[in-house]
Amino acid sequence: MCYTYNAGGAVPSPHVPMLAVFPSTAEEVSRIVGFCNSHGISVVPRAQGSGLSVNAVPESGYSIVLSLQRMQSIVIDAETLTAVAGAGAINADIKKAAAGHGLMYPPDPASCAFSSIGGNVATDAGGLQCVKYGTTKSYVSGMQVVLVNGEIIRCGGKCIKDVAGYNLTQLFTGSEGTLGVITEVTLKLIPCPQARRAMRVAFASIENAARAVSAIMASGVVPSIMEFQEQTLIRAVEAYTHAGLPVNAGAMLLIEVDGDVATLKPQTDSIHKVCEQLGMIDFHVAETAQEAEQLWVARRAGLPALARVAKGRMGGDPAVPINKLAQAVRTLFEVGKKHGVRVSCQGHAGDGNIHPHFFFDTDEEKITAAKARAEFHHEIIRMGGTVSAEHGVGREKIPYLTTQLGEAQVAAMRAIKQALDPNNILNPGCIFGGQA
Amino acid sequence: MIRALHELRAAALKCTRCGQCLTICPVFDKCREESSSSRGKVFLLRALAEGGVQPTEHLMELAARCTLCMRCKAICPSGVDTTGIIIELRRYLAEQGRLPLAKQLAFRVVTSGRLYDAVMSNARPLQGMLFRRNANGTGAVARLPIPAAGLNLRRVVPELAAKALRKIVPAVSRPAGSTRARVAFFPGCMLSYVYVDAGKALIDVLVANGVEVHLPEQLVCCGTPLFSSGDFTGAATLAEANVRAIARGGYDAVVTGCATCGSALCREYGQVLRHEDTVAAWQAMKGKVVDVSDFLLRLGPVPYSHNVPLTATYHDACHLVRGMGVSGQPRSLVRSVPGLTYVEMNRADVCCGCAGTFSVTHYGLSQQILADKVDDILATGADIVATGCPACKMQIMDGMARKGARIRVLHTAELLARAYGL
Repeated sequence: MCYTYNAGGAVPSPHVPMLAVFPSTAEEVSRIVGFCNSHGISVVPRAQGSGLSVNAVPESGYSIVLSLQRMQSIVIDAETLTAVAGAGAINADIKKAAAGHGLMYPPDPASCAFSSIGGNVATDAGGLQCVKYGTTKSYVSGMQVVLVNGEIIRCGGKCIKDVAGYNLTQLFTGSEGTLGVITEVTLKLIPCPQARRAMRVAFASIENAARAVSAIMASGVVPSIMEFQEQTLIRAVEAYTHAGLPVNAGAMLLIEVDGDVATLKPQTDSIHKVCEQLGMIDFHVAETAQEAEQLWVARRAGLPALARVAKGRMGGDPAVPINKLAQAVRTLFEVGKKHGVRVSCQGHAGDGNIHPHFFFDTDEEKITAAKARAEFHHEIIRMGGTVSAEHGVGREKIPYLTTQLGEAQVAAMRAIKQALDPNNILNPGCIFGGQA
Repeated sequence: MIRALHELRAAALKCTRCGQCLTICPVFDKCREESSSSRGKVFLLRALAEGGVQPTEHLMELAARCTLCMRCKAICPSGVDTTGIIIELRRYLAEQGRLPLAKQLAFRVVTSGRLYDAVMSNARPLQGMLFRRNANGTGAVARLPIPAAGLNLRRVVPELAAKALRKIVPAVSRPAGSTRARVAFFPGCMLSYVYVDAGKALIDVLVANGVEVHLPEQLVCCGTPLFSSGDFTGAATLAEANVRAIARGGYDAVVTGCATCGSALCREYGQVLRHEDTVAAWQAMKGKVVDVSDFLLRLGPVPYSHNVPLTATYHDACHLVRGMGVSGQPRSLVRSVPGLTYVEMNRADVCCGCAGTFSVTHYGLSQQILADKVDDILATGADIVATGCPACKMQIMDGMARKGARIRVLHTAELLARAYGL
């Protein structure tokens, strides 16, 4: 019963799997998957169940949940700047192990304290630092995968350059458990930056804040983090944390720069200059680590603060090219107004990824909120954006897939699925819906 | 009166199942099964309300897999009262007759008041028949395994005191000089019948600080074992007896030395009390309930007189750090002991795995959780581990004895008593 859900607001699946199995080795996974394949039993690979797009839930009772939670090994190889981790290893534990060698594993989805690396790779998880460092896929250099027939393969590895055959590593990355079971991953690590500095910039209007984002990126400074919150959210967070946020601002940016100590001031000055030209109303630089932490508290308090705005909330993870950010935010509020739905948003502004929020209190409002969300997603696609930047398609964004990618592309994807999983037993229903 | 299931379901619906509670749960860390996580149990309650699962003994067993350490509640970004929901789930199942028979019988004795006092005060000879003292003299081990009581031949349980606390200290202990405060001391079962030396040390420390300490008549068990197992009716009987016994004294404060009792007295009683008069009395009293370390610090402790040239560390009892919000106060008192070297252990606020009856019904799981705590304590190289909860003391002593470690496990008050030369 407890394996019928993931994180996120969608209704848990009504289908209780026959079993939840907890293999400890790739060989065990191989035997399980091979058996299920020959008996037509669906296999839903899963670890921490923190996916936000209904990614890993059974779609029929004739299924098992394959938990990779017991495969938690982490080995850091400081000579090749890589980490080899079991699929069930927790992202934060990898970060910690890498830090012990002066290294960093940058991808930091908001769930990094508790999400597994297997899930991160299977959904190509993003996070705050993607603006400078890229998403999970930029750090996956190899993996061990159990194919549907039980064969165990290793693709990629520790080589920086590797073009022997198709890049299967990247094919499995973001495949949401539909093509094979990732049991182990090899990750690239980078040296830790020497220092970091956080700042908060307030703008009178969302437009100006969004324009500042593009302008900062164009100025030659690449912040390690550039987060954005609009007024409804600022006020909700302030009511919740009393952190002294600029409640009259239309939007604010939380920015972090990192690198050698000497580079922090020039980077900060450049950002200040750009923001000044775009009519910022407040610029606050955290002088101490403690002050910086206070700034991030406001970011992390977003979710609990929003929980107090209304009984229910629908989210999402679309992204647009960064020069369309202002347009995307404007569209969100227009769509909200048109349907009479309260909306808000925050986002990883630096990479064009926004998290819209659609609020509702009643069942009727929920239906309207869903309509508004659908319309917003279609607008995003029209702008040249994507309906999913970092959570994956799961079962939540299936309706938009063909619109965004076109029938030919979806057909190509289905052909890959058919080739690697002819009996459609691996996480069936995910990405493509009922019939793969 | 049970809160209707649909009301509980509404509370459970706030859970977004994000998974934040997974990595900080001591039970999930060992079981690794979704149903043993907090979000799993919250989901099960929702499923129960929606008819997806039935109120079976198996469900009670799943609900029982929680030490109620409150770490999930503290971390939950959606503000779900996970611990409260788990207790309500147990309560619902208990009212459906799913409370194990052994617990039902034990709780009947505990709520009897006088009978319980008679048993606990006089059972030492009986304990001697069933148990023998362990090799290093820190407690007793069973002569025969009693699986139903969670006893195997290795478990070190504390020996009941030869004389109950009430037999070795007067009803009122008065300071030699002027009186700075007049308080009631609520010793709870562990300091009354098991660690009476710690109970006495606590009173001595208070008296040395100019406090007049009363041991009110007719105090009973605080009720937590019943409350946390879902037996609210039994817990209410005990809570009402305690509130009445304390309220009539008009004390400046109600000092506790057991984190669990303290947390019950100042917080959980709000959920169990039924009679209007006791509810009103408790409302007036709850703000006065204070842990001994917090009380001493607020009072301003008199200077210590003796060196304690040892290394000490401190373990946070769940009910103290999260239940009563007390964590800096005992550390501050311990750190300032002359000659003492203080070392902070890793993960000091993680549950030791005792959780009262949980350590009996889920001994294996409880021991797995304890093993991590023992490792963290031993890594400090300390001679003494202090804690503000006698149940944690019992659990950690068991762990240390089984590991053959010679570290002493003291109630914070026992350590302070040394610094006062008491």
